[in-house]
Amino acid sequence: MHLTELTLGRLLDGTLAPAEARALAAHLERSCEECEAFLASRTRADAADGRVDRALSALAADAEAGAGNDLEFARIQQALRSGRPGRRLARLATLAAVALAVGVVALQVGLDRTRPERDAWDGVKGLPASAVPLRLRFLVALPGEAGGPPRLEKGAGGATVPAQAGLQFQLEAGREAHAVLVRVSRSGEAEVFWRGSVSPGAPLEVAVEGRPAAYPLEGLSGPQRFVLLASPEPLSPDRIAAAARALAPPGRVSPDRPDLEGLSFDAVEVTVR
Amino acid sequence: MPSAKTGPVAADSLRGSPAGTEDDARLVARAVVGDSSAFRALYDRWRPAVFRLARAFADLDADEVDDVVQETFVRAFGALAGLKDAARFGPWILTIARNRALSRLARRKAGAALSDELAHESEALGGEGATLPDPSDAAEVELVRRVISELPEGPEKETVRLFYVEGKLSAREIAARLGVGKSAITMRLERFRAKVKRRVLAEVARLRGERS
Repeated sequence: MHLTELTLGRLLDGTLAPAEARALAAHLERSCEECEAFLASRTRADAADGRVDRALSALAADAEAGAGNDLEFARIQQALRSGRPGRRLARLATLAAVALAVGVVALQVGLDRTRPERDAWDGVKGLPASAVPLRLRFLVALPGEAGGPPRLEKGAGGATVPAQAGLQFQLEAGREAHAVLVRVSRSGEAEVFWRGSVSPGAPLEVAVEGRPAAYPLEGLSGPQRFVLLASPEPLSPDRIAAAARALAPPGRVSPDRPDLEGLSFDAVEVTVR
Repeated sequence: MPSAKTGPVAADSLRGSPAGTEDDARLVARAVVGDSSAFRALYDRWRPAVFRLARAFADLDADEVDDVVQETFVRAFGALAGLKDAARFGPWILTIARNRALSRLARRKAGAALSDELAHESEALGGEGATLPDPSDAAEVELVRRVISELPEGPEKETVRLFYVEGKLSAREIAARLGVGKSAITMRLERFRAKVKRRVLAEVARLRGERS
């Protein structure tokens, strides 16, 4: 008595005859590749799946892995209020369309970028922040074919990107704050390439004079760390410089560093080739 | 930034008394009448499990995993009043999460938007889920441990250990560590889940048969 959609449905809704249920139980208590293949191939979850996943979730030694955060919870609340759970991706698609239409403006940056950097950081996001829930995402703007408009791809922390590309950053914050975007060198120098204010609500796309703007990677090589720093108080150059020293690659960043007290941050890293 | 104080109820704490499920029932009752702190507590408690579930799908990138997590909580909280057995909030939200992940992958394959599937989730959970015979959570955890112990040493057992027992790595990260393709890891995890589900269904069928 192998499992079928009909049998499974009747078992779950309680309409399977007791004798059939006993026969099915006897069958399923033994290993059955056919039934397991059937279960593995199903594309809809049922109530038994929830119980399986509940039991599996209780196994993990690291029960805190994937813990929640204020920003995500705020987004959930906002989506519940608006009744539009899928808005975020739509906005990304809109951003891509806008950028393709108007072109991408290179940001002007002035610091030396000739020194290659090594020792990749693992690109893990969501580092603890003390005051302002933050999220830093990015798109990779690749040169268009035959001089055409740039092509945008969703960026992933830890990805390898060509030096001809640029990074279009997108910021989200859970409360109003002053913010800066910096590239932090291995020596802890802060290259501030955007400064502004952030507030809850729609993600903020970094722009120059109203046009989407990308950070050009030309001249860089190896792992590059980009950090969004924020604070309810204005960020002075000294404060940014001290934070950059604490955030310098390589290695993970400890939010407990005294230089980061009162600051919130999120970071991404890409490897430029 | 992470502020969760409580993860999913650990296997040990489930033995003897389903304290975790009683807490869920109380939190759901408070949330249904609009207590925002109850929503936050449910989110903090179940977010790690939802996150881990989504990370089993190696075809989902990190952003998509986050989207699945967010969509799951939006849908669950939006439909909370329809949950028939508040104590089963955990399995319920995990079923929603699995459906969110599967829908996302199916949508990608189809190249077009699928119809809204919230109704199906409600059917699966508010209906049949509420009437399933209810072996204890602790018994099901022990069953999972038994299935793992019966696996022969090899790549599948190693994958299961890394993903479900240690719980730190995503399916993608395990693929990179073991030097195999993403789909191989997803397949191993799904095959293992199918073994567990077969045993859970056997228990459900046994209890259904006893009630004659």
